[in-house]
Amino acid sequence: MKIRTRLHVNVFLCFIITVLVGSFVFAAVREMNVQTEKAVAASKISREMAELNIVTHEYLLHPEERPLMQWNRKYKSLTRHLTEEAKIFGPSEKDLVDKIFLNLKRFNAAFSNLVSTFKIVEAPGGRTIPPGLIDTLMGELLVKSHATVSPIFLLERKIQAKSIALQTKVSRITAIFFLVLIALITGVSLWISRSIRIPLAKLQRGIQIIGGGNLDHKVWTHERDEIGELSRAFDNMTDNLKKTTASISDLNREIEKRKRAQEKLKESEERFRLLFEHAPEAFSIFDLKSTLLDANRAAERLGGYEKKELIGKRLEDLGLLPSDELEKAAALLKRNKEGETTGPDEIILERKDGEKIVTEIVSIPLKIAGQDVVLVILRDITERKVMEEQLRQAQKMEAIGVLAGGVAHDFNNLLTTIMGNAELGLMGLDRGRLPLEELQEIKKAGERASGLTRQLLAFSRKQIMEPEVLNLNEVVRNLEKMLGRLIREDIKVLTTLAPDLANVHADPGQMEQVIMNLAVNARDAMPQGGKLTIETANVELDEQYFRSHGVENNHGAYVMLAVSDTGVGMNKETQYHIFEPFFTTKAKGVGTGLGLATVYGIVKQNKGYVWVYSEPGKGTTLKVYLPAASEEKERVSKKGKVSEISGGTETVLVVEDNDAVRETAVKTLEKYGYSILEASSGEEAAELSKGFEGPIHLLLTDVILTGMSGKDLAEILASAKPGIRVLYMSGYTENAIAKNGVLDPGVNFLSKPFTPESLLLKVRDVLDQPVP
Amino acid sequence: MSQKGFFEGRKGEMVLCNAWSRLRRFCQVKQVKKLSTSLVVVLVVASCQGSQDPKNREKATLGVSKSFLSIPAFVAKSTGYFSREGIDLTVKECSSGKTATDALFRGEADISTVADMPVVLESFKRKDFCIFGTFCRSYRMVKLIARKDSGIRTGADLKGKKVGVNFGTSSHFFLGAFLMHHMLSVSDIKMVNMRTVDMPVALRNNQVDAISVWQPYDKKALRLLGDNAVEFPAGEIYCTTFNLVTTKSFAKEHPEVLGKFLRAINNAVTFIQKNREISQDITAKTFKLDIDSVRAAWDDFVFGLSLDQALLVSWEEIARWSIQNNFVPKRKIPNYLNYICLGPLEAVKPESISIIH
Repeated sequence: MKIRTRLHVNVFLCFIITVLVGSFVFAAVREMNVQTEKAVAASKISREMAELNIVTHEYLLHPEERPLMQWNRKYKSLTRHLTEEAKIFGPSEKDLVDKIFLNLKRFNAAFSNLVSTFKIVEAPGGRTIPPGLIDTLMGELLVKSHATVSPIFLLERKIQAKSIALQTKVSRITAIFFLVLIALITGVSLWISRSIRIPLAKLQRGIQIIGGGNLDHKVWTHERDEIGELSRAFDNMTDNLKKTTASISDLNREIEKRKRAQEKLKESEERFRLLFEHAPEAFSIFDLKSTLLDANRAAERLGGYEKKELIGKRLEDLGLLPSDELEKAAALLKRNKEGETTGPDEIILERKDGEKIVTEIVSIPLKIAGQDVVLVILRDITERKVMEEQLRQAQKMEAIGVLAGGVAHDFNNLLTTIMGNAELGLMGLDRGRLPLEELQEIKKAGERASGLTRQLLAFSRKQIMEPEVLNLNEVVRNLEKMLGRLIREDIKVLTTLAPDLANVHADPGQMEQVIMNLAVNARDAMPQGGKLTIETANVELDEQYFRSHGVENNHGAYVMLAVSDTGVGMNKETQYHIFEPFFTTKAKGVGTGLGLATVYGIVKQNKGYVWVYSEPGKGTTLKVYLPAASEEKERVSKKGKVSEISGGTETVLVVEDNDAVRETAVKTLEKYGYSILEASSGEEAAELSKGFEGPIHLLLTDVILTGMSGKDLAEILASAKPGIRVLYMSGYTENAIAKNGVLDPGVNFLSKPFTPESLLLKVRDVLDQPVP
Repeated sequence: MSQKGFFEGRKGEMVLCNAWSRLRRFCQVKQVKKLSTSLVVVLVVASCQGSQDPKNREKATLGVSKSFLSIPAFVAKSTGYFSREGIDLTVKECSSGKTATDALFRGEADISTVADMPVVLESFKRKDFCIFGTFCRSYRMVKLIARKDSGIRTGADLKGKKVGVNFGTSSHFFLGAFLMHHMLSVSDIKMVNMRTVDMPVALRNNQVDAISVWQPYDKKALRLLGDNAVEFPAGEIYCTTFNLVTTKSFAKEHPEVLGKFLRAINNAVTFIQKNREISQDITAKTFKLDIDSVRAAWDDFVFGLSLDQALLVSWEEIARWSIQNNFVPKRKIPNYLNYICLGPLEAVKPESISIIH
């Protein structure tokens, strides 16, 4: 039976019992009310009878009008009440009521007799009554009074007894009713409680067992009530749960497995932590906001900082990067953010002790624990760089030696030409003839010699870069003769030059060197002969182009110079290394390994790009891209001034420790009207200027002097002689007046060797410049 | 009749009374007693005044004997119960119940307070008045005080002594009853008729050996005689009742006034029972007596509305005594049922009526 049904049965039984007992109680209460009414009526009769007796006694004591009036009123009231109340009394009381009536009438008669007697006595001239009559009447009156009072008392007692009996009966029935009701409720409640409690306890135990993880346990309650349904539903739920949930043993196995995995992971982490910490390379990890997250011991040694001093700091706050390197590092990080692995690149670090070191940097974007980071690997290559420089110098010396061997032939030829023509000229003079033709040949030979010198300087990277707006077509054309000497006869040289080629901003000497190096490389790639093509063109390099070549985007107009050969070509591996210094595929003693490295350096110096396209057996094309210059070419106008060589009257202080050069310069300038002061050293020049009172308009000085340098002298004179202009001359500068081979802005420079013509043009040009 | 006001009905009144009782207990310090009494009266008056619809208000004049027996009437007046019941009552203070009844018959009062004796004496003369309630009774109202130096130690010692008595009053009746109680008759003593107010001085001046005197002049006599005074316990020889009397015509024409009047007296009685000390203070102020005198006499009086069968018997006894002593010209005892007006009290407090009717 269901719990709800049980409860309904319980309520129904209680209701039935309540109705039964309630009906009985209701009837009993009604009877009690009747009894109460009877009791009230009897009590009223009794009270009125008592009052009647009171006034009877008062009258007997003093037979006045007032007690008589009260007696009569009370008698009537009592009689009326008796008549009225007689209806509510039952048959059992009727006899008593009749008796009261009867005796009351007798009482009234006795009282009336007495009153009549008193009236007879008190009447004026009243009769004499027999002695003792009054006492007799009084006695009779008292007897009648008692006879009336007696049934009234009996009636009262009888009704009272009935009321008490009824009250007792009702009380007992009510008590029994409540006892039965309590017993019923208790019994049924216990029954329901037992039928609920036991299966509920079983269910509770089952839930505890299942809650402990034993999904195999069954509650198995067979009751047909709601708890039975609940337990069966619970068993079903456990079955379903079991299907979808691993058992405890499975869970334990899984836990054990995971524990082992965690231990392995921990070991692995420890291993990698040790590897990280003890790796010889400097490892550091940055987030994408360039904040240092971690670094290993090698990184500590590299920078000279302890890890705790750096972690949490941003790249720019680390103090490891000089300001000009920060930009480079930021650019690398930017590429890393885009997912690109960079390096190896070189970057200069400033250690904690202030020492600057050159490092090789490789940065790799990674994801560690869901966080995007960049792993930076640094390697101190300062020592290697020094070694490389030393080796490069040594190899350069070797290369120069090799070159010198090659160039010596040309020089000897030139010297032969000079010496021969000089002899012929002298002989002509002896015969009274002006040796103009010989001097022209000597001059040409000198110019060629000067060109050869420039080539040598370029190889030694000591060449001063004098960028100017130039057209590569002109450079190629000017080099054609030279190329003819470099290229073997079994190689055909073709030039395809774009007619409207844009200008570039570059050093013409460097450009010549680039073309020469590329041409020599092409030549060496065609041992069996072939075709060498030099091509120029205007190109527009877009973003896509740069993206495909993986370099920094700087799209725009470029001028292309391509040198192609039909030689042996290169594989990818070789292509990858061709711009590295000292990388060569040529036989020992044939190449220096500096040719393409020099090309790469010059092109980069001029903000350009160089790409190689090659296929083994088919040939190679090297393409150089230089940014197109927006300026118009100046060289033409400068060259225009050649025909307008003019002198001057200004005072020029010439300082040159080489007597021949100094004398040539002095003579040339004096010839064109300049006043000359000359000195062979800086100190002498300083003394001379001090003693010279007039204005010195121009200091023409060699950069490298014995003792005081030309630059120091210029600074001294600039303060001593305000407004003095300075023109440096030198074969090379060793960075005295130039940085990275580029002249400082505002510095006037005349490259040695120079001709009197170029000297006069440059001197006039400088003197015509505004006073500094 | 509207019952609006700060204290609503009898419940509010009870709450007020309880609050005052607590206040009174709290204010045991003498300095604040006066203040607390005044405050209570003011609050009761405030709670009663203005609570009635002016249209339903009745005007009446009460001729009241300035006796402790009239305390409920004075308290009802002081606490504003008359006003609350809708009666604008004018109080005419009289030296005795007899003068108050005279004022009633002269038409100067609508209601008066009166003891048994004047009722009985007047009943021989006229039939136009009726008693509609008893509101005080005392077995110690009238006392007999004697001089020790006159050799009076017991009641029997009065034989042959001069006793000051106010003829035709309860003083006179009490003396007769007292003598009978001590097996003496009026002929055994020499009665000297005098006003009650003069009795204490006459006793002190040895003009009389004893006096039959009612309160509060007994206290004065005791004070004047000091240790020489003998006060005879009154026992239960004579119960003085103080009744409310009006003319039959007024009772017929203004039964509602009498009902309201009885309700106010009944409320005052309840107030007195619940606020003994405050009521004593009111009494002391009304009678211009010190509070100790009031307190000393307080328990001699029982306040409560009723109309008892015993009242009739008592009056008949007095009437009989009056006839025997020739104080009245008639020889027939009046039917005192004809001098009872049950209606007003039956309407107000029926359970207090025991007259058989």
